[in-house]
Amino acid sequence: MSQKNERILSYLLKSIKYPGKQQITSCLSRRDTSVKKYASFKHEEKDLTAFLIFSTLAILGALLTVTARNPIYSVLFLAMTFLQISGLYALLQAEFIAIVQIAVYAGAIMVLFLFVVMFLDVKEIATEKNFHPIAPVCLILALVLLGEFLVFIFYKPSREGGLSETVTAVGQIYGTAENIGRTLFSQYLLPFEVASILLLMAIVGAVVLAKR
Amino acid sequence: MMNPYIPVLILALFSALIAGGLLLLTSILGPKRLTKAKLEPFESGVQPLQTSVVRIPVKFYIVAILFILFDIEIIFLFPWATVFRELGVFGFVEMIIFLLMLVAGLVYAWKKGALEWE
Amino acid sequence: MRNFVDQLVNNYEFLETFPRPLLYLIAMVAASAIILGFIAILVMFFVWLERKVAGHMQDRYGPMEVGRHGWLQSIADGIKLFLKEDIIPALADKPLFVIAPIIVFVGAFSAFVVVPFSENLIVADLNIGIFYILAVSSLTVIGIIMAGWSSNNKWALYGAMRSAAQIISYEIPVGIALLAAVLPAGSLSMRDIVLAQSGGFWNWFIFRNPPFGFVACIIYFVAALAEVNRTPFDIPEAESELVAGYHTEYSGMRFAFFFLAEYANMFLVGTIVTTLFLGGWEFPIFPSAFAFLNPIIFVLKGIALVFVMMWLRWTLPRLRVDQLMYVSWKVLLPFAFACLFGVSAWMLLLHSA
Repeated sequence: MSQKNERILSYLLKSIKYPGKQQITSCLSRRDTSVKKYASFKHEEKDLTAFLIFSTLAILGALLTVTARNPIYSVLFLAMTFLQISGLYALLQAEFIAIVQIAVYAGAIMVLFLFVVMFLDVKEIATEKNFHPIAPVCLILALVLLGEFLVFIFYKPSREGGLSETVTAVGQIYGTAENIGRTLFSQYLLPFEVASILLLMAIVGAVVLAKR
Repeated sequence: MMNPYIPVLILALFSALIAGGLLLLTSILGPKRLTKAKLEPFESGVQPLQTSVVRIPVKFYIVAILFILFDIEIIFLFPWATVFRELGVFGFVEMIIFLLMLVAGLVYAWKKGALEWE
Repeated sequence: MRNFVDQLVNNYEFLETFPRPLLYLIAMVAASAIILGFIAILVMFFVWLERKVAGHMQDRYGPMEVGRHGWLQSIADGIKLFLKEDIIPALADKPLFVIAPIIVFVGAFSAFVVVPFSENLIVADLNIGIFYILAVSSLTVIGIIMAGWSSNNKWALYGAMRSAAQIISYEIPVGIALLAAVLPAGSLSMRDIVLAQSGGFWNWFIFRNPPFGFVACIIYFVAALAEVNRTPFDIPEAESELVAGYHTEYSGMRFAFFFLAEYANMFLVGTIVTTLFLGGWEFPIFPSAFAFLNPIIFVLKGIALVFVMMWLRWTLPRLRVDQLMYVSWKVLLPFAFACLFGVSAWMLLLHSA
């Protein structure tokens, strides 16, 4: 990291140390010059290559997840997809999220899925080929999601500094565990506490369901 | 500016290559005298009665889901721990509220006997 | 890593002719090779040590034939395993059966990326170091379930399920106990955590915030023992009921990878305890005077902890499955919560005073 970038980063860090809500939102929406400067710092070519590799593998994994006959294979391909997505997060300097992606999705949730697949005897599902009646609804939802993504991709708020660059810059500011802690305990305090209630409800729900 | 995760990737790929290479070598170098008995599932030397996948009990499911929930809680704890000094009493109180919820969940699961492994 | 290469280029001018990224790449591959080779040799030493420790604790010698006091035994065993027949059971799911040991192996070894052998002897000092290890070790579970399921053998499957349930149950106390070291250090980076304990053994986190640092260290150590499936938590591979657990069907080199991974994980636990609670690479007293010994001290601390694990294995009987779950959810977890509360309250009191 060059000295200039370091200086800008330290300035930004200072500015979000006591993040009033306004300061952060203005920093993001108004794109004040420092962010822009930092964001315009040139992307290295290898980042693009890495992005292409990770995203191709992620899409491949997702396709294999859907098409695999054996549910165990589906789960494992899904785990692979999650690993690739974690690589994408690491590219965006969102290192904490990248590791959370591995620990929670590729680790914990995949283990639960594997348990569930084994709990519902595998071979019964493996031979079933019919589409579920809910498939059209899924298709509509998928199309809506695709539309949203397209809007995101083609809508550029301003000429200079497209979406991806801003995202990278924000990641470099917020990506570490420290900064996530700071924002969590200032701007997102209420969601954080509400999350605990959600977790409590999930525990109760799991216990009630399993005891049946 | 180099992404610090490149070494992680390289080490993972490198060890995967080493492992794969060694496995390939051993399959080339090793003897090949496969017999029917060797390829059967191990059952202490007798004919296996049942080899197919056995349905696993529901208790595994509940352990897994409790794990996910507490894992998410730990993920909230890590950023908190790194900035604990800055947050001071405020952070302490907020985290106690958060933890009390989860401890309540743990107590509930305990009382309902979900933590028994019968 | 990058700094090291830059320094090297400054010292040796002929390196200037090569493109810098290539040099970085070579340096990183070399570092990976060194780490991998070092851990592999250490693991072979541990296998020998385990047999010696077991032998002497039971009033016998252990391996004596190959080399003086059998010190070459592991190498002989390694060559033997390497030249064994490559067997994939007919009923096994071939692709998963082949990939599973590789995943477990890669998971065990890639965790060493963040282990700080000394202040600069570290492959990558990630900002989230310790959290990275937590994540990588949770990936091992997937490999174990893959191995158990693809073997198509009920013992392997039962062993894998038990192993997975055990690892994930003990992951929770592990995560919370680690916080007892993260809190006073205020960082997740392994290097920062060690630096926060510098200046003599009284600064080590095991003695910090008494008695909570100590209790957290014990909780971590016990839970980590369970995570690496060591006695008294080796139910998943209880020979008397499950043959050999998830690797029942594995033989030859594939089995060797599971074995290597198990011992590598033991050393990993040793290094984590060393880094987080026992001052890392520092000598207990007058650390600056012994700075040149740092990597050796670090490894010695790790080996000492691995020895403790072996000692426990040959001392304690195996727990029952229900006791296993009891220890994790009803003993370690509440104590870990209490510890977390204690450490943070203690830190608040000291800081406000």
